[in-house]
Amino acid sequence: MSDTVLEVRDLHTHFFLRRGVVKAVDGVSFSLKRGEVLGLVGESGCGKSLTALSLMRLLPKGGARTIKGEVLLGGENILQRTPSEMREIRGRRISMVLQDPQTSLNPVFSVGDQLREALERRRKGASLSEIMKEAVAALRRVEIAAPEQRIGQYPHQMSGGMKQRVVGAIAISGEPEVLIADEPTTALDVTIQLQYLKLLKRLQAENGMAILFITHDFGVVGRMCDRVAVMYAGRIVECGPVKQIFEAPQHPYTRALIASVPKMTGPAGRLTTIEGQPPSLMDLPVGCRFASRCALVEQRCLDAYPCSVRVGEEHTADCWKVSPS
Amino acid sequence: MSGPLLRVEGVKKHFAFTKGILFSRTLGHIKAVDDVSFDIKAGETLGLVGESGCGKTTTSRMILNLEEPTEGRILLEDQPIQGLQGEALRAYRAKVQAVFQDPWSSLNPRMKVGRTIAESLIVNASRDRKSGDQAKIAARVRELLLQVGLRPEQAEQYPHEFSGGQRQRVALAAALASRPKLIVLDEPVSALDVSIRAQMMNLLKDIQAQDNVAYLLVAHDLATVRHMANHTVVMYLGKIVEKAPTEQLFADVRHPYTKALFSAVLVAWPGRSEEEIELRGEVPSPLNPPSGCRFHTRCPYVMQRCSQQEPLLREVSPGHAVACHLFDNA
Repeated sequence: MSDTVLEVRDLHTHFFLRRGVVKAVDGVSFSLKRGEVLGLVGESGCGKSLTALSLMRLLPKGGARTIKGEVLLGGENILQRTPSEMREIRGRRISMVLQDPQTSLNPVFSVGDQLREALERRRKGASLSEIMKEAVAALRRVEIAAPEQRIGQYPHQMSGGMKQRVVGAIAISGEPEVLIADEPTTALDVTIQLQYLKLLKRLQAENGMAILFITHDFGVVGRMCDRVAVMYAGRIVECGPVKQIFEAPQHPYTRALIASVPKMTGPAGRLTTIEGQPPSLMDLPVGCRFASRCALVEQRCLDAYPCSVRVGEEHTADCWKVSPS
Repeated sequence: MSGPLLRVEGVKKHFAFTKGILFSRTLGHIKAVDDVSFDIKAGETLGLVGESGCGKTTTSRMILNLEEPTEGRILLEDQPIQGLQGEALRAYRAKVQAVFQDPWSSLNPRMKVGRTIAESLIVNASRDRKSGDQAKIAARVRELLLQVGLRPEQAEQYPHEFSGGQRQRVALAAALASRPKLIVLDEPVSALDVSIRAQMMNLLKDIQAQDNVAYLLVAHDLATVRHMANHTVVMYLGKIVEKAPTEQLFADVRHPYTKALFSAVLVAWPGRSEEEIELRGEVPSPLNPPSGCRFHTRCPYVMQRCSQQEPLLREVSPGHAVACHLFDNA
């Protein structure tokens, strides 16, 4: 058996509105191996969060539907599971941590109650004292000091970093094969962010789960990820090992995006910028979606979407101008 | 004028922490800002760095004259700003403007952006211009929109028609309307996307070069500060722990907290070999700050005297000051 735990093939999730169809996720494919961290980067509105919600089958109400594609978790397509089967899969096999710990936790229940709820469903028939013991152990795993006291506290009595640890404890309590982390540290202070990322790495080393790490921060990618997929206007335009993407980005969008990040070393002069705006997701061009902002644009870029070119070991880019390795 | 544009001298801000409504008792004071001093020169940028709760926003609010310092004083062009009233306060506000983090909440959604900018002009204009020369105001609004890289006809649009980066440009145009000497930039780019962030930072630098305006840049991102600021001040729990010319600070970090901040900056390019400090624990409560050096509870180099004696801010090299007992004998 191969060690691929999650494979996404040609995923399309669109919003069907009265004004038209918003093609927010439009042909996304990637795979995730056991124990691997794949970064999904892109700017706001590129479809990275909606990709995650499509995998969890937790699409927002109001016209969003996955109309095409496959999400293979351990080889079976979870898009064909019934809602009640999905409830068994979520939390146990695929789990999620969101950006804002404030809204992920229920303010009127103690953290112990919220952990218990997650643990009870997964350990049917266990006694309350057993479950509470496990809840304390779960808090200890995410390095919360004095977990016996903390377990009776409410979310408002904890700092942001601590709340995000509790959310993490709940997410991994079912020992999922895949953890989706959607900007989990964006709301945290920098020194707390570093603590949290290191914690995630340690937890991953313990149980070998695969992580899909959604972020807009290349610093976080460099620290956390093995491979990175760059998304633009609903599609992954480049995907490859982190080191290769940083050192030799192939797609013009990736190149421009990396160049526009302020650096901590080197000359502190003018920053490179990307002029213009991404295309409207309601009215996508037939050709390459980056063509209107690309310096290397040619006629064929406007006529047809480029196919995925293999530019190196596990490294692909969707661009007419790159040459295959 | 030879002195600095803005001088902050030994400023403290303590907020009383009370209980009860009618017969309220003061339980203690939150020392949000505790003895902070720095200068900003005309046409230069000072970066103010620190984590949430370190007092950087309170400091900038005092400079904007929105909070009164508990102790110490702030001078603009050698004039104290405390107690300004009426016309003098209005003149001060025209000289010191602000751009805030969230471009979604800083613009009035029911006002055309041209009107938002014009209002800033009318409120801050001196009496002669207030007499109402509509054509003059419209011309200046057009000029400001062009200066921040927008099209003049966009004055007729509402904020919801703009993207985040464009809104931040509108907020900047409104701040520039009164030709200020100093603009407080409170996390001006942290709500923006990476590619837009670079555009905004370049624009801010261009405007500074044209108009010789000074910036107080409040930020948590060191790389942003490095690209923007001439001088950098690092704060922790209401105190300055290190200040230096930016280039020197980045070349030679001294204070353990600043080092930890630098370690925590996730450098996208892996494979650097500097020493790395990971801080344990959380920032202590400013209501009951640790004795001695406020950082000693999290400091990896903590010594005995750190918990007893407060370190003073002293120069370790010209212009580079550090508050840490490690450098007592330097």
